[in-house]
Amino acid sequence: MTAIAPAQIQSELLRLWDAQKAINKNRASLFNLIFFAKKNARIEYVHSLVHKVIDKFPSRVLFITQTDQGNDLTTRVSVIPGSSPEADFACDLIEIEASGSSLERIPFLLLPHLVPDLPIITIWADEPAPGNPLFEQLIALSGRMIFDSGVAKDLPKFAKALLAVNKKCSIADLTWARFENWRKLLSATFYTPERLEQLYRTNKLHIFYNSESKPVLEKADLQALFLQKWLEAELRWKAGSVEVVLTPESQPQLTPGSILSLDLSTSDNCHFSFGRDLHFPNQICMRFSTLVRCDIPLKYIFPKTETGRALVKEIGHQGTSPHFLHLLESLHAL
Amino acid sequence: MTHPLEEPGVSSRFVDPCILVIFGATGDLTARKLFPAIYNLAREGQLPSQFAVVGFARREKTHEQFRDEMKEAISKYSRSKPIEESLWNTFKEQIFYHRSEFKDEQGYNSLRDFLQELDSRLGTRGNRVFYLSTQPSYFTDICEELHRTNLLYDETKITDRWSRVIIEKPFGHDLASAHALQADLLKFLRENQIYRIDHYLGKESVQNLLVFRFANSLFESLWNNRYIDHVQITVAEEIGIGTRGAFWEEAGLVRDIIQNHMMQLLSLVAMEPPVSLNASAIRDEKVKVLSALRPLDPKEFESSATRGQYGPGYINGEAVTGYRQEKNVGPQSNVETYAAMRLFIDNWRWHGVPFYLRAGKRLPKRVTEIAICFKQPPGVLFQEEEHMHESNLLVIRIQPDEGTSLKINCKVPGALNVIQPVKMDFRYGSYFGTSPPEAYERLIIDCIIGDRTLFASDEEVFSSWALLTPLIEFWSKKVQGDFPNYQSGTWGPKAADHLLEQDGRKWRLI
Repeated sequence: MTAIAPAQIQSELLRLWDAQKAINKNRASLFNLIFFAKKNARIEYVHSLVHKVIDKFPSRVLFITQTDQGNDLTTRVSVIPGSSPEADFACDLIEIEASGSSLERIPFLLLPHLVPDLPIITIWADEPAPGNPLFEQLIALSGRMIFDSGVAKDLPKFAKALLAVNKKCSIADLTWARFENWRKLLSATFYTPERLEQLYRTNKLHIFYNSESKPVLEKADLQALFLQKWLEAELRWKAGSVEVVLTPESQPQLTPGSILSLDLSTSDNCHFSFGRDLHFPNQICMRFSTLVRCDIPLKYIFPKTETGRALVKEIGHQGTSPHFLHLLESLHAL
Repeated sequence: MTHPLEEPGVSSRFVDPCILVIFGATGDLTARKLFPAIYNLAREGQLPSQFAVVGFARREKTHEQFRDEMKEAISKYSRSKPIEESLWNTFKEQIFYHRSEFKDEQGYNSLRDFLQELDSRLGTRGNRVFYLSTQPSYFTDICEELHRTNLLYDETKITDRWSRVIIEKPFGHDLASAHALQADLLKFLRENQIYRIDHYLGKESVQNLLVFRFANSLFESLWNNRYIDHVQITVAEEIGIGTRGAFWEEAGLVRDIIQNHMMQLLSLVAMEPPVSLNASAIRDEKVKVLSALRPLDPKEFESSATRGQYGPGYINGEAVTGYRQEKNVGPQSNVETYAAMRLFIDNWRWHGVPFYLRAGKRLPKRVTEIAICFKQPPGVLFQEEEHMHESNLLVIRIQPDEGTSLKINCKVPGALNVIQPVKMDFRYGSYFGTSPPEAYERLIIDCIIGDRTLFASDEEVFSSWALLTPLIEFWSKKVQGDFPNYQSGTWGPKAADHLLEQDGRKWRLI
């Protein structure tokens, strides 16, 4: 893709779409998706998310990359088709690379190229930056901002920043989305009044997580920590009432940071064990036992894990999850 | 009180453990639709972990043989391919086969014992869904046997488990038989245990009708006789009757398509806004509008309805035979493979607006759509006396290529006021990238959850039979001398065109 002047963005898009007519693609857009990332080890991962998202929600994508050097601004446009050969749609991609003082020009570049009347969703793939002009402008523009706590170096600070953003637009987090299946599983398991009573008598929680990490995920224990904090917040566990242990285990074949298993014991000697089948990682086996009884194990199937799934889910949701807000308040207090 | 772990806004329909028993498990529907649907539900994690499927049929088979056959069916007909081996190896352990005749008492006794054993082994807690994928003549016998063996529960007495029956269409073959069937079934179960399946209601595009009408304030104010000239509902199939000659000779097109699918589409298009989205509120409005349909006057049958039967012709360039040459069809058959009719709804909203319905086999293409044809604007500005511009047209495409299009008139760039209709098009497939769930997936899971919104109620069924039975009886007695009266690959008999031409209208060319 060759760089073009910002003033040529619209005409270049028109030219590209004229060329598309021959292959009969529909120009589709459900959302305006603004990605922000710094040019670092994560950039390729963030780029890969774009294709995953537009396959489910074709959108106009505005991808902002902050580089370190100089005060340059570069713009490029392209048309990205759906991944499947049968897909009959394609989407606009406007890429803006900026550094130094050029960053302040970005909001002015974005405004004319947002598709009117469509929701604006920003994926901020870096640490929140309160006070940063671009960050503040995007909060003002967006109906929803999606973050990734995987990049956060300071969780309480991260939580505080998100709670502030939430006053202006709805928020979401990819780590929170990544373990949604576990939340659903626990919610379904402890659904009946009897089971809920047992859950309230929890005195020990042991979470095993995959200790593998990559540049895209610096803290492997994050999902496990969030799961712990979610249970504490929603079940209102008093400090010290439940012994919590988070144990790393190396499983290179599995997604970094993923929860492997969960053991929960109660004060009346009930034991719940949720274990991921390491050969078929989207299958979870639940075992329940007491001192005198052992139930038949039950199998649950999670939808298959794939890159970008969490982001796609969060784009589809509306509003800020009240449970996620409770989690943030709890992290802020750490 | 809300469960503390249940997240607001996150779909959390809790699915009870249960066993699904499919009667007629070696039939076409099971292979083409039911098992692919169940497999995809399992793949998406929507089935409860304590779940089993038992195929019930007459042929001799082992569990393994049945599993292999269903694996082949899933591989061929599932919307997701290829089959995931790891998932299949777990899933197949929940599939079983039970051989019996539909009227064999011993067969039901052993079924009961087998299901109880599965309850103990798998934890399915006695919950049952019985899917009757059989000929209608077996419905009562099966329910009677299920009742005798206590597999159908009296829900006034048993509250810790449930049992439900899914019944395929047609429900009866006329009004009297529908009532008789209902009376028979109610000896063994209650109305709220009966789930009359109409797979059109499980289609995303049909469910979208309510969202389209009631989540957009734009259209509701136009949705009445002030602005709408007429409505055309089309269900066209390019296939013939295939191997179903024996069934078709008894049924005909009105019973197979119009009485169920088209009446459902009509009721969704014409109903008043419900007070809520629960099953009974929606059902009430559908029943109201069906009850407001003007009965077809026997003196006006000839001018209000017409029928056809396909002869030889060409579909997609290939020669095809006529209906009377199909297997198990009489050479002088009087059965219709096409029908068109004009209906009126006598209420404030629709008074004077004709609803034209047409459905047929061996038509040029497969399409199901609803076309809302608006009235012409007042002829004071851009309308010339001799040349009326095209009316605005809103088309809701149910299948294929689900979506909506709106035809509006625009000025052609240039010095003169030349007006050209243009189409604004929304296509589901282009906007929502991944393929939607199949209708049966939604319907099966809804039955397990106990949500009857997408199933036809007894009142809806009786209302549509009440409307159509006199016409069916009239046609069955009247020998149609000109059958076959349309060539395969054409849009039906000339008489169907006349049905609209007499009103100064014409069918949409799709």
